[in-house]
Amino acid sequence: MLTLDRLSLRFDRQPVLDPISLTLDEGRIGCLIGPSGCGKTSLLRLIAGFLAPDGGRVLLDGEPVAEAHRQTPPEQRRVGMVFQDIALFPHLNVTDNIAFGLHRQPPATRRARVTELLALVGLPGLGDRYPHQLSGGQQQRVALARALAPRPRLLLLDEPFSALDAELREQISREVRQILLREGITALFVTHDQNEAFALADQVGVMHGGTLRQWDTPYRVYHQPADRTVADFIGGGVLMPGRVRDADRVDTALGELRGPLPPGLAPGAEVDVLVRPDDLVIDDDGPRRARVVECLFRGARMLYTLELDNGQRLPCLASSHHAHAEGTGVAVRLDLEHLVVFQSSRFTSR
Amino acid sequence: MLIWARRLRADRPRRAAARLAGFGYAVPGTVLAVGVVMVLASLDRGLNDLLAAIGLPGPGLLFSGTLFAVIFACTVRFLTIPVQGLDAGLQNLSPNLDSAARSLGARPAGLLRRVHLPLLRVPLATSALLVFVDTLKELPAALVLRPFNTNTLAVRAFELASDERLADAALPALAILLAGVAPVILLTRSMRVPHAPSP
Ligand SMILES: Nc1ncnc2c1ncn2[C@@H]1O[C@H](COP(=O)(O)OP(=O)(O)O)[C@@H](O)[C@H]1O
Ligand SMILES: [Mg+2]
Repeated sequence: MLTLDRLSLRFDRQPVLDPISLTLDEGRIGCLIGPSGCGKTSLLRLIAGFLAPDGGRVLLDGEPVAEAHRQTPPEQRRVGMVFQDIALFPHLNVTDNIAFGLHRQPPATRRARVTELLALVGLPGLGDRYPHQLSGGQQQRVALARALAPRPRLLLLDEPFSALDAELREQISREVRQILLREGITALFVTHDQNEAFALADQVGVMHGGTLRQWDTPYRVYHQPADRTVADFIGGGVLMPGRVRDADRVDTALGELRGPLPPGLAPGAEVDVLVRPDDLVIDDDGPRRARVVECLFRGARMLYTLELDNGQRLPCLASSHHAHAEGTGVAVRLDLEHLVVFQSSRFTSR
Repeated sequence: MLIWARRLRADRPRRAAARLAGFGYAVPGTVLAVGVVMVLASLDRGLNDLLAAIGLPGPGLLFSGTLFAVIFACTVRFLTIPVQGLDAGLQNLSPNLDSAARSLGARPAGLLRRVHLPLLRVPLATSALLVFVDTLKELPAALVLRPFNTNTLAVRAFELASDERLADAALPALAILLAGVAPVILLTRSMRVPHAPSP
């Protein structure tokens, strides 16, 4: 449905997007995630047609809409967009905002579609309000309805929930997923919140510094990160140094770990092992001692920062029933399901 | 009077043109008037020569000898007011409004008509008003450029006053004042009418 083919972009000769390629199938929801400034918005604007690429192509349904020296103008692409700042038309009421993209259709069709969409986004009866008379969450829903109204081939959403507070955000993002599924629409989200990405997407892309590091299912992005940048960014883990013993064993401060290693690592090679907060278990019979450096109450869970004897700090997510105070000692055990190992960066320049 | 305003709407890609437009306001009216006469007179001459060359009678001073000269001069002189007013107005609008309209199928002209114009009503009206008042008062350019038998209020007041017919001069002067004040009142009224403000 959507294909990006070695798409690149520069601003004033400064590369903003290095060649980026990906495909998103019909009816799927994709999500791009990455730190701010990594080029997420620019990528969406390229797809929508507000920017022209410096190289590569954008294809919709196999038809190129952007390639070298030939751009389909945005109004002919049938690509809807929900903006980070919402950008409702302040001089139009909710009905007219939603109907903006329908003005070539007969009034009866238009009215029916607006009513249908107001119900879909859960705002029936608010058609006469003006944007400034709505709450942030309501504005967001109107923006979504407005973008959906002309039934675009592809919907782009640029950090659509960043203006909302955390609680509302989760609720609305769940609703939006339902709405997108119901409308059967292909959508590409942008966010810097990985929970949002995992909750919403069938396909997750991790961007960093203008490159797409991995484009994969949420499961694989989490458990099989393609490189250390992805591993660093996703899941709040840390990379702990280790040394390769043989083809499937690594020695670390937490003992010997077993699992498949990437090819090309000789015994004795320095590596980094990914340890996620849920990989480390506080267990009185555990083989290693650690000291609690910090604990953060997260409701059902407690997020500890533990320090091993050698000074290595590791995150640990544990039940909040048994609180361990800062400064106390605990016994820990590593419970790794997926061994993720990268060649050490300590001797390579970064 | 809305000629100016109309010209501006098209001036969306505010580039060097906007800077050039500011020039007219900085130049004294008299200097401008002489400049306009020179430009238009040469245009007239060119046109007459051209028509003569293809054997038609020339229309005479089509540009420099008519009201066109006055209007043109005022356009040049006051263009900067609406340019700047609208520029400020446009900059208050999120560029994403434009993007939103385009992605919803509006062509650039549609964007202008359905989004920019309604949202720029107030700055548009304000600058049109300022231009109107300024034009009424403009003396030197009108004095030089007006066609025979045509007077602007300012010129009339000036003539009468310089003839020391002060009482008579008061009439056009008052007319300028009234014509200037009336739209101001209208405008403040219309601004008080509830109108969806930007969020
Ligand atoms: N109009 C522009 N002119 C020059 N540089 C820009 C422009 N827009 C964005 N950039 C630069 O491009 C990079 C990517 O920006 P953006 O796509 O907005 O990132 P994100 O949405 O991921 O935060 C940033 O370094 C930003 O400074
Ligand atoms: Mg952004």
